[in-house]
Amino acid sequence: MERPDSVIELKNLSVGYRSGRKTLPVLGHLNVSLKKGEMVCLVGKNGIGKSTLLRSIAGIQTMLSGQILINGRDLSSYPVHELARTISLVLTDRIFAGNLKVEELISFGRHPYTNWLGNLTSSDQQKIQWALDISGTGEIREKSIHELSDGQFQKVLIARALAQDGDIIILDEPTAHLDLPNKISILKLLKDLCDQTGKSILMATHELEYAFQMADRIWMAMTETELMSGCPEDLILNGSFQKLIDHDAIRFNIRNGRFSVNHEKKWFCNLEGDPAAVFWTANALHRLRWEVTTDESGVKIQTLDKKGHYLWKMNFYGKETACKSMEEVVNVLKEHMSS
Amino acid sequence: MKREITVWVLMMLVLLIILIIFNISLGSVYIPFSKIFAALTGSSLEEKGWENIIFQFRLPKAITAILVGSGLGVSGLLMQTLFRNPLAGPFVLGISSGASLGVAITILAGMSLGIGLSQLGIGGNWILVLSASLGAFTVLSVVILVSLKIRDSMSLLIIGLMFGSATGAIVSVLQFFSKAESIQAYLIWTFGSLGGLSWDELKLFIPVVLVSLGWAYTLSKPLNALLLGDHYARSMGLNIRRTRLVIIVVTSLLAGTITAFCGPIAFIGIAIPHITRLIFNTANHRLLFPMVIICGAILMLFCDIIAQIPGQEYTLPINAVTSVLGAPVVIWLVIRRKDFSKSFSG
Repeated sequence: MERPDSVIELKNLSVGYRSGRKTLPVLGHLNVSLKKGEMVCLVGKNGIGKSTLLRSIAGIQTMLSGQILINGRDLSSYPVHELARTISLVLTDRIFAGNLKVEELISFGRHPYTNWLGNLTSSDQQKIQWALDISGTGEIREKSIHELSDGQFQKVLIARALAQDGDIIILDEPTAHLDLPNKISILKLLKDLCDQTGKSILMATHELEYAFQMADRIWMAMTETELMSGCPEDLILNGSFQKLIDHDAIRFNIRNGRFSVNHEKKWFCNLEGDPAAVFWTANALHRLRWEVTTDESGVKIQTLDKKGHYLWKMNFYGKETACKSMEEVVNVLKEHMSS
Repeated sequence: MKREITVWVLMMLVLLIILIIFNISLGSVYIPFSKIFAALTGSSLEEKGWENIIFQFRLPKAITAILVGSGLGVSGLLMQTLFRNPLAGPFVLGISSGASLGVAITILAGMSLGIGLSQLGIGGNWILVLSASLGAFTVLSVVILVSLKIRDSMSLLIIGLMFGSATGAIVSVLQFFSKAESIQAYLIWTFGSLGGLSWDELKLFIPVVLVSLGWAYTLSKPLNALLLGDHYARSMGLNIRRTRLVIIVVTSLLAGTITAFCGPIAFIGIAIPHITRLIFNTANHRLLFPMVIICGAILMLFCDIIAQIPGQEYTLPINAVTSVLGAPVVIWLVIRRKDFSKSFSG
């Protein structure tokens, strides 16, 4: 049989909760797909139903209506053990066994393949070793779960999913609570997995900046009934992305992909000098609600590069002050603001 | 690590054998160690009376103690993993309160109808067993029916506790309307007893407990999956509802049978899994089951030895001894091992 192009295909899918006779739809009218070897990031506001959608695709939560095709076959036609060999999960759920060893936890990923007692064959052992190697968790294999840092724990969870060896890995916010180096190393690990093993990855995330750098495709949950799917750059250029983060307090710079906090500006200031110093001075001005203008008639700041240290010359309507540090500049500005 | 565990297991097996012999050597009649050892290894004794005491009373009691300790330990472990709650034990689903209700109805209501247990003669013990089983079974059937309805295990735990309180209250009402002598008969049952089983009863008790223990061991893999939570377990191909049902049935078989034959025995079921986890520092059920069985047997034999108060004719109520002895052990372990709480959090 020819393998279908899409490993995950949602057709007019609606997901949510059923309570008695009532249904509580969370996300509906979903028509998107994920191709083999793609890394897809699912983004959207808190509470819009990203986790619900992921659980429904993984088959651990019943969908409300529509169809989910996994490798071209209807999800409901998969027996549980076959589905377990196709999709593996990394969730945000807590694990209630702190004294479980890393290697044991990863070996549980082999459950869909082992016999009723869970005996590991040599091919199971090989898979576990491979998962340890590729996730870089080999050194901590003897440790207990409760001894791990958040970053290590997340890698172990990914290793468990790898040991389960499905073509599809679904992750729910794998980088939440991680510091920057750990975030990047997890995301790089996932990206490398896609490239090297041909596995398809679907991941819900709030890391918009990295999602748009690394994902092959973005699923963007805009409203309860609209899930946009597309190449990250297209979504930015056609304005969908700005709509997603449509909020007064945030400003997205389409030229450099940077987000900034949008303060209401009250004071104006002209700024010139060395580019690095100007950039960080503008940063401080922005924080203090100063707008940088080209108008030279009001407050003026000039930065001077004195061989490795900077000086600031400030001019308040003709009255001049010199500062040696950003802190001094800020104090002068604050004095001006309170007068 | 593997070697460390082997050493521990060997040490505990030796301790178990020592305790069995010591347990059998104790009682109101003094029998020398050498004679006990001779009798147990198959030689016949000159003193037929001693032989009778050893084989008709003390050996059945030691076997009962071993099975009660292992059985309650294992059912406690099953409940703690199912509910992912360190306070869960064999009786959280209302098994012992169900059994108490059955027994209370039989003794208290039966006596007010003028039927005393003494009048029932030899069958009296069986009637108690039957009424305890019926009571436990009734409460459990309700809990199982509810468990098929609801999704999450936490609600089930709360419902089990509610059933426990409700049946406890009914027993209180029954007691309020009963005569002092029947209340005393009921209270004696609640003290628990390991010595009440003859070979006739053991013929039923031993196979039921052994089969249930074996059945529990076959649940190692699903239980390990449940350690990761329902979502992960389901994603690894586990049928949660069926597994939950089997866990409840096995727990009921163990805890229900033990309560029916020996009365409610507190604490052991909660404490043994904790003690085992703390000693062996593992959460893997394939290791935990055999260890819990050994630890349970050891602690129960030890409690029984204490209950006999060496040199005295009295025996203390076993139900009290388990708690009085077990509580300090658990407190000591929890304080010594600072990471105790970690075994229930990630």
